[in-house]
Amino acid sequence: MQEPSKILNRRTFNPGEIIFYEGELGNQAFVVQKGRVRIVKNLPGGERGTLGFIEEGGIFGEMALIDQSPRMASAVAADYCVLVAIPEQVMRTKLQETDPFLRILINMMLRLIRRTAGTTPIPPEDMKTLAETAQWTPIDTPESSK
Amino acid sequence: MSTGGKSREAAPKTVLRQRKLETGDVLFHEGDWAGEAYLIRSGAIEILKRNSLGLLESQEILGEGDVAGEMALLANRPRPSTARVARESVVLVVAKTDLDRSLTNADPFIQALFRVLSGHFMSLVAKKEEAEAKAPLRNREPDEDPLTALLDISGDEGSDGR
Repeated sequence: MQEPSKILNRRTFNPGEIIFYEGELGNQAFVVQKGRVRIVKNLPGGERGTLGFIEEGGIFGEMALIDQSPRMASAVAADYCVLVAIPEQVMRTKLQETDPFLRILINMMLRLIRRTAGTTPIPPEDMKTLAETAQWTPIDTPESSK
Repeated sequence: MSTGGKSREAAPKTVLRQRKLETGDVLFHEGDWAGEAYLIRSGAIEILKRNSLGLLESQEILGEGDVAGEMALLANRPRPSTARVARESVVLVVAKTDLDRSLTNADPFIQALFRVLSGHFMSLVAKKEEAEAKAPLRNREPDEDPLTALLDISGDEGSDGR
């Protein structure tokens, strides 16, 4: 079995360093292994507001990998951070090869996290993706291939 | 990037059961031990919780694309709420045993992704519950939205009671 750490890519950031900018096209998601990441959004009039912090064990930037949308906010290292970068291609390939059932549950987890955190509204595109995936699921298929 | 090794046809697909529910049916009860969650294909399911007076309080109404009873998949603990069918519904049954089997067969990367996501979710739930547990001490109104209580608490986080 292959260690996840061999596929994933660890990166470190100093306090204040930009991890990604709002509006960029994203090709990586990140898992915070150490430190805290501040999520910052540009406000009308040139000001910037903090949307929240991603703590250790948190994941961020995954939306851009799932629906190819531009980054909705910037991510800035709040402390010295160790991040595990997940390249888009890795994510996509792995998800495609995954049992669709598990893929749905991963989507479900993303949604539950957003809903529980209550900070970010669920984008309609994401809802649509989820609904489409859910309908994909075979219904009432006889359990023949066990 | 080496993806070689396991052949693709080796990944078995999980087949889900479907269940049709009538208005008023109780899908599950608060306090039950269970190993299933439900993905809502159609209809509406009301989530209720018993308050300090022992009355069932409506928490939210779930609809198409929502999931009910997810805690059964993620933690070894009884149902935190009751689910009652508000309108004729069709749900897909997601069994913990199916999830476990699917995860075992999955790529280590996907296993890690799922673990991270469920860990993140559970820590959010713990934070929310911690806030809710404090709420009754602040003589919460019987019909007060628990989320409001949650906001109240995070609001005076600065003043440390003692």
